[in-house]
Amino acid sequence: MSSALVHDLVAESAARVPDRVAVVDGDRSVTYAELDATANRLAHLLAECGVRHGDRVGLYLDKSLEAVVGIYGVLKAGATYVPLDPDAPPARLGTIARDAGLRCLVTGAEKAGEWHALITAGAPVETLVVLNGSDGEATGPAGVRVLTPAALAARPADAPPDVPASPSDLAYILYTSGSTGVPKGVMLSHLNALAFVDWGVDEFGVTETDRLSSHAPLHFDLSVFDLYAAARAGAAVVVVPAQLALFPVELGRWIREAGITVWYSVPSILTLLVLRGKLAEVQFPELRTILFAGEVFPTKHLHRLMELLPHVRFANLFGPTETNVCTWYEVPRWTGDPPASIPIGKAITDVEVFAVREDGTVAPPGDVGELHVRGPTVMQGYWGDPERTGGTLLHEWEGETGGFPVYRTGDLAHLDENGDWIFLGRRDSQIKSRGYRIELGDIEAALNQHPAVVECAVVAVPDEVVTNRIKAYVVRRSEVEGDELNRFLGDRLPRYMAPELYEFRDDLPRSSTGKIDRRTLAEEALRAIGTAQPQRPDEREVTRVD
Amino acid sequence: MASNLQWSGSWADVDDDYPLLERRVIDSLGMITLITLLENEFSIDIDDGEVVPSNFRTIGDIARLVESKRA
Repeated sequence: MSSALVHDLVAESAARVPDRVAVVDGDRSVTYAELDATANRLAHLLAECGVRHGDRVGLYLDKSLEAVVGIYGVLKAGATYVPLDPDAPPARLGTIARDAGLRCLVTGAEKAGEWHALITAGAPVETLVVLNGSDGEATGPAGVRVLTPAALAARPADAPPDVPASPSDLAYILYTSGSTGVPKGVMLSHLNALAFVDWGVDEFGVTETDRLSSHAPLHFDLSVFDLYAAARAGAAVVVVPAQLALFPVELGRWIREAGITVWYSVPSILTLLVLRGKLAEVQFPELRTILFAGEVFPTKHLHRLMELLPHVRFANLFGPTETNVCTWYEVPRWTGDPPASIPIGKAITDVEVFAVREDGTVAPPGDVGELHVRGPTVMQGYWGDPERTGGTLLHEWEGETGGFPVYRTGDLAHLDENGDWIFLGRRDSQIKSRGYRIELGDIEAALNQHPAVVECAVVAVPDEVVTNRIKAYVVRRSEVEGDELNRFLGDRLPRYMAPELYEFRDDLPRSSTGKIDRRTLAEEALRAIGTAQPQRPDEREVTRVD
Repeated sequence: MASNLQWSGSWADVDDDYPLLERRVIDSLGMITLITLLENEFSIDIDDGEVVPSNFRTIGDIARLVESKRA
């Protein structure tokens, strides 16, 4: 591995292949030389604004060429970038910004309408660097310095500021849903990112002639592969136009015309493509690899997609934000009917994965246990939360010493007879819905803030297409309907966390310990939509192969 | 349909010209749900080639699409 720091990838590609396209965004593009130069300018500007080694800088703009410049500019200034979901309500982002101590925000003119709300919600922002839009006087909230694109021009382009950065520095913090209603900031270092990227580039043979699509938003760790695998190889990363994800025929056309060679996304967009994209009528001669992660891909749709794209390699990548991808599975071409589900596969290079039983011992093959991950891709912890970090990041573990901490994922799994891991479910109340990671407690905490809500329980109802639907059982003290509660939540939570179903009760069932019996409610919710009851993963029969 | 789309804005604001796409009322899974709902609710078949921005920018667009299939 030549680069020690993520932004070195761009500098090295700029030196090696300066005129190759680095980023494509609509009909605009920049070469590696241009990207490196502009990022250097931004880094100098940030340093002049007071950004110091180790500071956190927010990224608050739509995914774009400018956003990529923003990432590298922040890194070259020796700081850590914190991508904010451009679609999340300002109140939610204000909490995150305050938690991360974001005094400076790299932003876009399209978010100008939200700056004030962000600050009112607690973001300690003193400087806004607007990377797009006009160069004229930009007015921001009172007391906040606003810099426009013209400010970049006067800064040096040849080299970034001299900062004593090291591979163990944090490169980015990704905030995820928290079970008590407070988002958790997952801290990833340069070393974490590069260990994953090196594996991805090697395993999938990414070279400078590749064109990687970039669909995932920057606050999802899928984006780490798109951006940095491309940078390492000197390949082009092509931003998927935002609305295209909704229009499968147009998306299919775009993938072909953009000459995409490697696609990486959540399965649901691929499902839409195969169901409605008229793929049988289109050829994709350049497309060679499709990677998917983040949720279960219904095998019947996956199988159909593979039949339509016989020359494409398909792989299922698995892993929480805390470790990026930890296991992966190359999907074989099935001759008959596809199986009901596919494994999450085997550990990636240099990473060790093992399952731990309730009694604390490592599970032998076939036995169910909680997946633990050790290796260079494991996070540094949760920002500002040593207690939660200590609960999941274990520094002592008997067995081989690798020098890396062990992360307990909360995922239940077992090894099958081929040595592939099979995902069974969660230990807790974290769910996936439509590809999004959601803590049910996060939704409950927000709902409980509504004056009409006495108490509530939010449960997941398994669904074949979206993985889980969200249902809320609410005890109310005064009249209120689901629509109004969802409007209330819309100011506090990302849209995808809003319950689809509401049921109002006089009271909620309780277990013998007096806690709300969510399991009973989950079972009732399933019966209500007429589906079979789920089994607890450890109740399932596990086939042992000796 | 509003709850199926998990959109928490106020439907009272949504008139025939409300920019659904610009305001991100629908996401990709919402699209699958919406198309299925339209087909079932109105007993029509929406061709894949009709799932294009011009038919879904506003409620008015969607209504026109549905009407044209029922004609």
